[in-house]
Amino acid sequence: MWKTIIRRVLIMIPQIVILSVLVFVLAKLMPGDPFSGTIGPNTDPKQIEALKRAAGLFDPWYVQYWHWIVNLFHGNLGQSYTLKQPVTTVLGNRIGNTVWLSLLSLIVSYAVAIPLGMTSGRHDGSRRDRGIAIFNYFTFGLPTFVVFLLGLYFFGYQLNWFPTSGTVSINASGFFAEASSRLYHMLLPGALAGILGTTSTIQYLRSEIIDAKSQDYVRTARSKGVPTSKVYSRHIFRNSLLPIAAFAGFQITGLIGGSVVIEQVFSYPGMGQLFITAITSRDYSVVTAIVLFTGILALFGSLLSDIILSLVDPRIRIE
Amino acid sequence: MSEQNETQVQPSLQATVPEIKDGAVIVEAPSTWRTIKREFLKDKVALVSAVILAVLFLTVIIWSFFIPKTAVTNVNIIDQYLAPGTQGHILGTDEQGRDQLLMLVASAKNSLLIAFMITVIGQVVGIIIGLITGYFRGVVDTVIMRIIDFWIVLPFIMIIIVLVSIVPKYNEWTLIWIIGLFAWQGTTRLIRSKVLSESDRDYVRASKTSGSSNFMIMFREILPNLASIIIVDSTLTFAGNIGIETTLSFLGFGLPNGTPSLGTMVSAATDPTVLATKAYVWLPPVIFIIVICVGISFVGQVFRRAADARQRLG
Amino acid sequence: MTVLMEIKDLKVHYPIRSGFWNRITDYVYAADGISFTIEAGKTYGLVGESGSGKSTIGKAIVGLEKITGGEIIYNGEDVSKPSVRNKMKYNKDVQMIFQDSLSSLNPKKTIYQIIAEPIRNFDKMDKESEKQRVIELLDIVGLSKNAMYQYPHQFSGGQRQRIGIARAIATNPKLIIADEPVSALDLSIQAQVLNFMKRIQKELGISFLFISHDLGVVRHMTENIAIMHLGRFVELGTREDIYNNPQHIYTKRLLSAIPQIDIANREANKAKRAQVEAEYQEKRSHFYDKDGLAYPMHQISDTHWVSTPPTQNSEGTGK
Repeated sequence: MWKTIIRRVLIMIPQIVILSVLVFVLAKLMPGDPFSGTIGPNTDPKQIEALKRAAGLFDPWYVQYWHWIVNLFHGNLGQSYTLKQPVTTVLGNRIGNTVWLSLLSLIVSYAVAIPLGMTSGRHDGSRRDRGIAIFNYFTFGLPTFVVFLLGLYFFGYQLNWFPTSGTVSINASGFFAEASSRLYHMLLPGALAGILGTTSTIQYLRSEIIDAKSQDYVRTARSKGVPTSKVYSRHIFRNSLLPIAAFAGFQITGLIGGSVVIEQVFSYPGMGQLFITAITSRDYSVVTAIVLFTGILALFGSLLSDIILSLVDPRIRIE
Repeated sequence: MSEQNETQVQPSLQATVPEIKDGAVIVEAPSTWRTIKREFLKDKVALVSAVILAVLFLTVIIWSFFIPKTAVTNVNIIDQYLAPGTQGHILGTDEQGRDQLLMLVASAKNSLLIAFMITVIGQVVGIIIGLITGYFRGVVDTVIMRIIDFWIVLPFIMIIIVLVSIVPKYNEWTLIWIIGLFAWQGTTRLIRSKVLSESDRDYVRASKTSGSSNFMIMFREILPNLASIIIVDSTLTFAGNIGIETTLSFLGFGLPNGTPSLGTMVSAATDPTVLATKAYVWLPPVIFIIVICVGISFVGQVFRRAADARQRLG
Repeated sequence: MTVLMEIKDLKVHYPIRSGFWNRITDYVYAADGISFTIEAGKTYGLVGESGSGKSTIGKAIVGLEKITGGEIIYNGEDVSKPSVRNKMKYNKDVQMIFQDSLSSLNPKKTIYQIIAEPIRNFDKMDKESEKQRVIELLDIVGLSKNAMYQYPHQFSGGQRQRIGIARAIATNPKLIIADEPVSALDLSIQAQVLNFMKRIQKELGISFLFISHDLGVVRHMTENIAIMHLGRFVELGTREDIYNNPQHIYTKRLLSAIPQIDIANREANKAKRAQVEAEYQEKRSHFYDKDGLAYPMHQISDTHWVSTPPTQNSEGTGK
């Protein structure tokens, strides 16, 4: 089993390398450099050129790439062009918000998907099942920004149940007040994002349960007199649990990539909103950093999922 | 039926087995179209959706031919944000004073056509690569699947936005190709797995012994057997592509300024005042998107049920 | 007695990969040193249990399987290489009838297209002649010309197999490999299809290689029979040699397993089978080498070869 894991980790290493090269190429294609913000009418172009040379901007590409990698390992992501701060600081402020929001979305997603999936599978063919299927068509087919916008409109503006922007209210002070305020601000976007992400889990659970229902071990348990609900919770559910955990890894990309949309709609100051602002203001060092970070996170998420899946499914293992 | 047939059969067997008349229809297994028709009739909601979609598509496309370019490009700030019904504007006007109804039709046409083009690119590339990897397997297959596994994990919205900002000469075709970069991976996986199982079947071997080349076998023999999953996949990815393009335009990184899109119409709602008080500005395009995407989802599910016998209702 | 094809020391080995680096650790010896001759117009049977390698040999001869070693000589050339086969249009002369009639006909093609495919690739007639030929072929196998425009699913198993036969004889081949052509059919239909094949073979003078696990069927259809076990021949001879004078313990075992409807002598037959089985178990280590595989064959008469252990051989090595 360890062989499979090690093999999978080894596969990820060239993937990360390729990702870094791709991001580097993208970064080089973006116009601008750290000094474009310092050019004014009185600046001597020769001086700028000297600065650029010193910063290594005229070096051959592989040298630049190497320096960039070395800097990365030292935790130096460069300087934000527009904000005049190290990128790490800028990112650091925002990451937490996005991470918490994504976590909440994940929790809501499972909290909704698991009962729905189990009901759907257990009573397949019934009206409940059909209703859940229709629910799925909506969550799967609709573009996310539509749902977020409508949610914001109804629950935020019309009903005033939730705050419509920001991450914490100004008045909150002290740990609990602040935490609960943060939670309050996250609830609407988190809940909506969670609901939108339920489709694959529900479909998977449903088909697993339908398949398991006709399996012999379920029939045996029932003929032994085990009450139906216990059959479901003990036997069937347990078997389906691990693969669902595997899906979490894949959902990470969707959540962080999707943070771009959700944070724009809700004016939520996280990495997604930072990404949009940075691109619009041509702050490409921040953009590069975000893309790299998200990409690596996605690769790790996929790694985690693959490992969990290989634990569950013996066919994937290496003997 | 030839007489010689009868004399060969042992007398004892002949008495017990009635010879089935040649040409007589034994079991009429449903063809693809008939199955689809039947599934539609069983699913009234999907049937209604299909009709609504057809009507909407046709209306939008035909009407958009009659909309003058000026209705879309004219800026008339005086008439900004008129409420529905004033001065003949049934749906009111937008931020730049343009008639919302005409904008809706023009934007819808753009969004639909662009999503259609992306789907075509994604399907064609996906089918070809899927056929090749699934049929030939081996090293080519492993390499391409690794590439896809890598690609599919990346946050594509971010990368698309970056590419959109970088590309110098930007028009709707640039957008189509950029999104197209990410549109074929899912299809390839799907086609590949079906081709893997189909190419193991004896009719592929029989075609080989009949002298057909690999190319002929892939496209003439195997491809027709992929028809049902292609229909399902293209329908569902079409809805997905509509979503992607509108989302990008909503964020401001989709269609260029002169080309209206449903997403750009909705982006007016990023202004909180518009969102809260002028719902007539952004609600119509939102409703249009919902109807189209959900309608396509329903129709796509019918296709999926028709393709997979286990899930059929009929 | 023209020799159509010579198979010399045919070997088909499949590599087994395992371990961390997916290295080749072992091989499956599907066919391991098979040699025999096929003469024009004669019928041959290849008998063995599942996994004996008989299908592999059939596929190797017709060009569907890659050969690891040995030669197949046809028209003076070694046709184990695809380039040689393509140049001489090998498959025009050597065709195959498949076991599963449903999966061997493309469900999306009409019968006309299915039968015309080899004609279009090898004979290239004009449209009218092609149509006449298809009608002619359908008539030979006893199907009406209405069948041309129908689809495979509209026919019964026996009819589909006859369509497969029509396709196989379309280009006037010299050799047809029939791979368990009736195993998937009802018993009553089996007789019908077999009789068709027999008649076609006689009238058109085609050589047949009939692959089956059923000795009863093979007895009815073929003049010469080869018995295979675990990738090697154990006995080869005419029908009379095999049925009246079986030498190898495996052959005897197979023969005793043919069901007999002889109620009067039920006990005697049962005792005889038990005796054969006992002899098999007892002499097993004697007739098979240390790897459990059969020894090379030795000729014991003009037409009869048997695999015997080295100590028993009296004459020169057989083919």
